[in-house]
Parts: sequence; structure tokens; C-alpha cells
Amino acid sequence: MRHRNKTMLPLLAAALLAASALAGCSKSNNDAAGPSQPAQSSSAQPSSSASQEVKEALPSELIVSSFNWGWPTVDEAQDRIGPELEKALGFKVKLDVIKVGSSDEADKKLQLWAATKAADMPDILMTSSSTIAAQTIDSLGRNGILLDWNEILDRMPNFTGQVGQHLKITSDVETGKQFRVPQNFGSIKSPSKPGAGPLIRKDWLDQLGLPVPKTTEELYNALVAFRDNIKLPDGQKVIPSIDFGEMFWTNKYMFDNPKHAYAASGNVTFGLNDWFTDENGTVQRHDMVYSENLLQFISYYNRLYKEGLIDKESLTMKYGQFEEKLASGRVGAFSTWGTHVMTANDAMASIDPKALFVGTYAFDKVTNPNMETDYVNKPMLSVYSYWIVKKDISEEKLNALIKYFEYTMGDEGWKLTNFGQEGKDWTYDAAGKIVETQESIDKYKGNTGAKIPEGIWYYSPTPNFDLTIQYYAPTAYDNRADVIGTWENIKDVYKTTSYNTDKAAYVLPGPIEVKKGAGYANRWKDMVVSGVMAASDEEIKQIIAKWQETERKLGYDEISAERTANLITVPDLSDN
Amino acid sequence: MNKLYRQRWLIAFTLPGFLFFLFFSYFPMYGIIISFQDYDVFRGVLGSAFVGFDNFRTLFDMPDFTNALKNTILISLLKLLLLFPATIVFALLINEIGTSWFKKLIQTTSYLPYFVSWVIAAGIWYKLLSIDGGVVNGLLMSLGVIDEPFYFVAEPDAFYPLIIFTEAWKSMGFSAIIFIAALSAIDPQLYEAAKVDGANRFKQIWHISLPGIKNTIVLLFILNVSGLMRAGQDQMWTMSNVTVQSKAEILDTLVLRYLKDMGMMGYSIGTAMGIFQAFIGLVLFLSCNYLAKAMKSDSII
Amino acid sequence: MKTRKLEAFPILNGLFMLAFAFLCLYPFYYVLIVSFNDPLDAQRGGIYLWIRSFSIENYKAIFKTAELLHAYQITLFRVFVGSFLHLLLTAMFAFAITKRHFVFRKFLNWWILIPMYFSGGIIPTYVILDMLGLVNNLLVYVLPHLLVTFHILIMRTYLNELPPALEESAVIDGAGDLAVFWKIVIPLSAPVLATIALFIGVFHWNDWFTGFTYMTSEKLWSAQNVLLKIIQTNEASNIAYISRMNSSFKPTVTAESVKMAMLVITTVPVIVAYPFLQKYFVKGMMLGSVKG
Repeated sequence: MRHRNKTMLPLLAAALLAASALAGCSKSNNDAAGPSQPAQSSSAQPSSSASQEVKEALPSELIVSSFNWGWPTVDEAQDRIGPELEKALGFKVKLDVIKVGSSDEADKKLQLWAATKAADMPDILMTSSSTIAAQTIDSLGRNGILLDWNEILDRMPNFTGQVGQHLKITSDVETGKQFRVPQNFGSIKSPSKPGAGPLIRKDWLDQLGLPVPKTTEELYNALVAFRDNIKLPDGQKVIPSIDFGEMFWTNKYMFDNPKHAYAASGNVTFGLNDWFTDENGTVQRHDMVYSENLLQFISYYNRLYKEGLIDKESLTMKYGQFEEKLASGRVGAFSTWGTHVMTANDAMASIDPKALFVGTYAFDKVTNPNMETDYVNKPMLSVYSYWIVKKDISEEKLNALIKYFEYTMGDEGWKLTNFGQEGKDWTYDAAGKIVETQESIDKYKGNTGAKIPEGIWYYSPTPNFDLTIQYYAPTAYDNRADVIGTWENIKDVYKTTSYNTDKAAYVLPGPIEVKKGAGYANRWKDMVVSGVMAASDEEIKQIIAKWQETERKLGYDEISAERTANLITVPDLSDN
Repeated sequence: MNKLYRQRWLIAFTLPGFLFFLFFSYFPMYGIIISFQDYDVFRGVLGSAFVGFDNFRTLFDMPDFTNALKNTILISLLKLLLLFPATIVFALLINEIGTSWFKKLIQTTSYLPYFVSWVIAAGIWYKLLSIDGGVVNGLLMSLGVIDEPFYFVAEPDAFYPLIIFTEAWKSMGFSAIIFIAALSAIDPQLYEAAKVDGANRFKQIWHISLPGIKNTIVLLFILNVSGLMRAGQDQMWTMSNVTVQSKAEILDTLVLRYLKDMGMMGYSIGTAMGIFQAFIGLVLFLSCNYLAKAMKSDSII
Repeated sequence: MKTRKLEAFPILNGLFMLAFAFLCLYPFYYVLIVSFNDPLDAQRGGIYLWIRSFSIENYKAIFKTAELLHAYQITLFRVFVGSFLHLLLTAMFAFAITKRHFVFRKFLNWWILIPMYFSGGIIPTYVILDMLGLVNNLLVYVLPHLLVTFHILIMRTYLNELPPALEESAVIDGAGDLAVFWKIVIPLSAPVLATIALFIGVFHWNDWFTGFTYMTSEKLWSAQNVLLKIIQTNEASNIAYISRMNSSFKPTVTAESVKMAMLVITTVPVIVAYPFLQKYFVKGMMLGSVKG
């Protein structure tokens, strides 16, 4: 220890020097910029036909930034699509990816930039669509930092044609301006087969000679049959069904009032958006008004729990345990939201190649005597991420952005950025649909992750669902037994789809709701859990009544009044 | 002036520290004002509206605040009264191990769980305690202790013992290091002298080891007490489930849960919570410190 | 002279320690075997004592990431430079405030105490660090972590326990504060310095928050950030596989299993480094060596 005395100081100095040298080299540079003049709002713009006299000013490079929590990125050395795109546009597009761990972290980053007056924020950015992101963006917009997209949307027909209806829910309530526009959004036009729940073992149903359940009663009977008649190897116990879990997945939709419910409305992982406008024009919440439905829902699950038809661990298990049980092949049915039917089936394949989950919809004769089914196909207008642009972006770059968007959402650019080069990566089949070439199939084996380093799929800024439908050829996915099986069960129900346009569900929470509505999802879960474990139907009724009373005491009526008053802040959402 | 010159090295030694806290702790402390504001991230503290104690009022009015407060205090007290002495005993026992390689082995394995994050640790414990093929239940049943699996994670009465146990498992080994280091600084001649006087192992521990680390114990005790308002956020968040959530809710998880729905207002309220916890912590610290002084022990301030 | 109690004690103690060690070791052992098990097979569960299907897929998924090497260089930088400076400043500060005649002693005690409880929060800290030019700057890994009040207090308590005779005799011999610090106090403080080195070293090794908050460019990330990104990428790929309906593609790893491998990678170096610090925890070692 003593020798440190003499050599210490020089070592220390060297370390500090090294540190500051590293620091100096590593201080990030601002992105290479062309001359920056503030963009003027466009008045009469020259059309982008070949015979324009005044050429629009364009930069040599356009940098588009986005938060990314996990997608692979392009490899400059292998990129093929980027150079093609540059040829078509006349400038290079560089996608700058800001890696974060989750959408929460992206929001935090956004807030930190806002706190430092957005000096470090890029010109063009894709963000998450959480409440806090929206609030931060609108605040930045009102303070003059962000561009109002209304100034340029008339130059972007391809883009507007796709996001038009969704623009209504991304506008700033206070000013009516459009500081954020949809980047990715849920669309009823998607050609891919939808998911459904409950998911149930088709092979077990066949074995027992049972039909795929279409009503809650049939589901109950199937679960009983699973419990009593299915034998597993090695004396393992059958788990007729698992629900809830950490994510609290349930099939509450089966018991909802068909007039006022909509797809995913009763799902706590989406925040229990149960708001609707009643006949008097008042905004109400489904679970406060339709007590009978709530009772049916809870007593159904109570019955399943009592009779051992749902795994006793359902209420407490972590997601990892949920996955393990599914993969073990012992489970007869489960609830979920999304196309998880494939993950479960693939995981089970190594244990029992005959095992097959398929999805179905089921409805309840008591709460829905006429078997109305439209409501499960009515999703909310939802936007998953936003584009925002800084107001002081140079006019050059703004022109480039518009050109980039319009090109990649038009026929030619869309094919290039989503599928790659014609002839090399894809070609047309006999019906004019787009399919992969054999070369592509051999090379990538269906792995999108392997295509991205070469630029395929990577440069597309926003989906164009009209084109997707136009060119969609059935893929291996569509030919899977579980996907076909699911579609068989739900295609009659899935006939018409439109968005839920009831303004009640879209009203932004005001100060009263923010203060008094906090913790609602937790209290709801508490109530459901008590009901599921209750001793009798009478007790369930009491639990529900008590819960509603508490909600009233905590301010439900005031929240309802506030929402009703704020209905006028929501624009007309119908498709016109 | 002469005095300052004579103490120049002491001043030189503490100047960097003084500046450090000035820049990195005190300058950012203006953020405390946020708890009294309707904070707008862009406008910053200078531009946001002042709302007095509104945020605190909203915080205390939250439906589950009282419950969360009660749980926080209860869990902190349980951890203090049970785990704190246990850690000291553990450190003493390790110190008594004669065989060097065995001592090193035990020390190293005992602090391994510290590095497993609670997300993973909770997942592991849930699997071990599962009523559907979990190892613990399997073991208990084969030993004849129970007839059917015990639903550990859903029993409200079993929850706090479970928390204490898993906390001990996870951090006792690591927390003991401070005491082990302190024990190793005790003059071995004291032990020699005691042995000559005929003191057995336990007398040596009682009269030499414990007094030798008394100040370390006092320091850590005071710090633990002042941390009453924080009961282990990561652990409570991951070890909880819907059947025990009313028992598992502590102040930190409450804020985290509620703030998700509250947007920007959530940040101001979160800051208010932090101020509340810090204030109580400081008061507790000073009280314990004063008590230590009164009992003629070495205090911190 | 040994009573029966003394003979039983080491055995009982040993047994108890063994049981406790097993309890602590098992979950980590479980993580280890799952990390070396084929991930798709691991999904079925039921792995408790041995690897069912050996595979290094999880580790491949992590090590094939090119940025990891550079990120580890940054991590090593902060672990060594950051820890060293931390120890130095902590020792200096603690030493000074044990001196009762020090003019600023009381003031500094309060000065370091308040920040242990009150903090401005994420956003104000970011604003200040931004003003100091530390955003997107490697120094942000070192400078804001140079001191921790808790560590100063531990060291101060430790120093107060040292026999004053040693210092006093040095002062009589004409040693000033600096000499006493270097020649007597530091050598005697090996156990507490080793403890603090462990605390701050582990912090620097595991910390991801600094990189995430203050660095926009991935090139400035420390290893933990890259590791977490790898896990996220695997999770996202699986989701991508579902949403893009490319069912001919089967993922080779799951996020769960990669997490296990990451945990092993993160912890093993610490376990390996620990014995080097442990040797300072031997009873009375330091006192003996200095006295002689």
C-alpha cells in the first residue's frame, strides 16, 4: 500500500486527462445541417409534376429520428433500399434511432428535452402516444416550438388519405391545432386475420365430440368435460382453463351490454375504457350502469373458480408462470388479447404435435338475448405513435419530409420500402398480389429481422392499409391450422367493422377526473377478485353494490359530469 | 487566518466535497418548488403556476393513502426489528468461522442474491412457492408437514412473513459486509487478553466484538429508522399480486401506480410525495441522533 | 479449558451457514442452469436441478452484439476511474471531518446530511447537468457519483474507532495532516475502503440509469444499457414475428431466457472480483501490519 504514495499523483493526473480527452471526443455533434431558415407556412405550392418551373429547394440529406425500443436497425454497409430511395427522391434519408428501453423511457426523454427548451430535440421525431407524451407535445406546440401540421397537410394527400380519420384524435384540444399526427395506428382495414378469445383446445373438443363454444353455456360445458374426461400422460392434472394472471385477462366482453360496449373496452390492460354516452346525452361508465351485466360476469367466473374449472393460481400467477402452463400442454382454454394463439401452439408443438388452440367468440344468453355481435368488431380509433416536427425546421428539410412521406405512401415508394426491390426481393403472383421471390425466401427464411439490415421494411414511415389490402397475398401465417381454425369460428361475427365514434370514450381526463379517478383500475380488480372468491351470489351482489357506492363517494358523478361537459371538445369522429 | 492556514489540508480535503454537493445536490434542489406548483415541463419552475399545498392535499386525499402509509410504517418497523438484529448476528457468526476458505465461501454465496433484481427474484420465488408443482410445497408435503399445497402468495396473513423472509434472503448477506469490515478492525490483542482471563466465545462476543462495532451499529440503526417512509418499492411492486394488493401497497408503489394515469399532474404530486418522505426522514434522523447524544453514545451530527 | 458448548458451536454455526448459503445459492444456480438451457425447451418449465437441454443460444444472442465491446470499455472506465476517485474523495472528506478542531466540521456535517434526504428530482438534476455541459459527455458517469453521504458516514465512524494513540505519536514526531492521512490513516482503513470500493464498484457496474438519461448516442452507453437493449430487441422481435405474421420464422431465444444469461454475465465478474476485496476483512490484519 505504501508504494502508492509516489506513483499515485501522476496516475491520478493521467486518469483525469484521459477522462477529459474521452469526454471531449465523445461530446455529440449536432446533426449535419443545411442552412437553416425558419420554414414559412406554405401558401400556393407548385405541384410536384415533372413540368414545374420553380424547383423546390431540397437538402442533400434528411434526418428522421425516432424512439425505438427494440426494433433492429439498418446496416449502412448492407443497405440496398436506402440508395434506391435516394435515387427516387433526390436526397438521402437517414433514420436516426434513439434507443430506449420502453415507451415510458421515451416519454421521460421527451420531457427532459422539453425541460431544456427542446434544444437537444431533433427536427423530426417519432414519439410514443401516451397521455404524458401528448400533453408534453401539445404544451411544446402552444409555446411555439412545434409545427402545426395543418399548414402542410394539403400538400400530403397520400398521407392524409390514410390517417384522415385518426387526425381527429391527435389534435390539441385547447387550440385545435395539429402538433402531432399519427405514425402508426390501429386500422380496421388490416388484412391480417384478427385475434379472438377465449382460446380453446380444438383437439380436446374433437376428442370429446364437442362443438367449438359460441355461448358462455357451451364454454362452461366444454370446461366441465375437460376436467372430467380428458386424461393426460404421467397422471398430470388437467387445467380446464386459466384466466386473469398478472395481466388480468378476462372475457368480460361476453357479458357486456351490446349497445354500448366496443372492442377491448372491458380490458383492464387498456385501462377499462368503459365510457359511453347514454340516451340522455350524459357520459356514463358501463360498470356503474349495467350492474346486471357485472353480476353475470363475476358470478360466471365465481362458478368456474368454485368448481375447479379455472386454475386456482389464476389470480396470482406471474406472466412467466402463465406462459409455462400454456406450453406444458395441460391447459384447455385461456383468455388473452391478441394473436397469442400462435405462441402457445408453437410452444406446445414439441410436447404434443396434435395440440391445437383456436380462438372463438362467445356470447351470453342472459345479458345478450338477441345475440348481437357487432360490438366486438368496433375498435376505438387508436394511435400508437406520433410524428412531430420542430417549427424552426428549414424549408428545405420540410420539403424533403413531405416528398419522402408522399413518395413512400404512394404505390411505387410503398412497394420499395416495404418489400424491397422488384424482381430481387419480390414479384407479382398470378392475381397481381405481391409475393417473395424464391431467392428472398431462401435467404431470409421469413425472418423480417434479417431483412432489416438491408433496408427492407425499415424506411417506411407510416403504414398504408389500402395498398396493403390491395396487394396482400396469403402468407404462411394465413395457412396455419390455428389461424384457419380461428377464422372458421369468428368469420360470421366478423362481418362488419367500423370504429367506435362515441365521443364519450375519447374525452381527455380533466382535472377532476385526474384527481378523483386515480386508482380506479385497482379498485375494480379488487372488486372482481373478491367476487370471484365469494361464497354466494348474494355476497357478489353486495360486493358490487358496495363497490359502486364507494365509486360514487369518491366522485364518480362529478367525473361523469365533467366528461359530459367536455364532450364538445371532441371533434366529430365519423368518417366523412 | 493563521488557524485557517494551519488547517489548510483539512480545507483542501473537503473543498471538492463541498463543491460536489453544491453543484449536484443543492443546485437541483430548486426542484422542491415543483411540489408547490402545477408544473408544466416546458415553462419550468419559473413559468409554472403556484398552487400552494394543493398537491399535498391531493396526495393525502388519495383513497388509498392512509392504507399505504400504514403498510409502509408496519413493514419498515418489522424489517427494522427483525432484520436489523439478524444482520448483526449473522455478521458475528461469520466472523466466528475459523476455517478461512469456508468463511470466504459463505460470505460470497450469502451476498449473491443481492444482485438478482427483484423482477427475477419474485418470479423465482413465485415458481418455488407455487401450488401447482412448486418445490417448497412438494418438499413440505413429502415431509408430512402439510397435506395439500399451501397457497403462500395468496394468504394475506402469510404475506408479511414472506416479505421479511425474502428480504432477508436477498440483502442480509450484503448488508452484513459493513459489520464484518468493522469487526475486522478490532484489535486482536483484546481477544487475546480476554482469552487469558478465561472468557469463553460468547463472553468475548458480548464484551469485545459488540462494543467494538457499537458506533457502526448506532449509525446504521439511525439511518434505517430515518428510512421508515420507504419500505422497499421494487420488492413490494414485484412480490405483490391482486389478492394481497391492499396489504402490499406502500407509499412508493401507490405513487407509481396512480401517477401512470395522471399525466403531467402526476409529476408534481410525485415530487410532493418525495418531499413528504424526505421531511419525515430528516425529522426521524435528527430525533434518533438527539437520543443517541442523550444516551452518551457517539452521534452523527 | 474448552467446554462442551464451545465444541458444538463451530459445528452448529457451520451447519447453519451451510443451509443459509444453499438457500442463497440455489436461486442463482437456477438462473445459471436456465441460462444454459435451450430457451424454447425452457419455456415448458420444470427445470430445477439440472440442465435438460444444453445450449449456448442465450449467450450467443448477447455476444453477437458488436456494440457490447465498446460499451464494456466505457463501463470499465467508470468502474475504475469512478471508483478510485470516489474512494479518494470519500477518504479525504471523512478524515477531515473527524478532526474536532476543524473549523468547518459542524457545517460540513449538515452540508452532507441534507442531500441524503432531499433531492430536486430527475428533471431539475437534468437541467443542471445540462447547464454544466455533462449531457452526452462521458464525465457524467464519474462526476455526479464522486461522493455518497452514506459512505462518508461509514468511513467517519470507522475512523473514529481507530486508537488515537497512533495518530498522536505521529503528530508528536512532527507529522502534519497530510502525512498522517497518507501514512497512517489510509493503510489502517483497508477494511472500510474495501467495503466502500465494493459498494461504489457494484453501482458503477450495474447502473443503467445514467446512460439512459443523459446519453442520446448509443456510442456513449455503458454495458448495462446495451444488455438491456438486447433483451428488449428479443422481446420486440418476438412481437414483430407475431404482428408481421411471419410464421415460417421461429425465434431461437425468448426474452426470459436472455434475461437469465444477462444476469449471469453481470454477476460473475463481481463474484470473481470479490475475493480480492475479502482479504481486507481479515481480523486485525491492518492494525498488526502498521504497528510493526
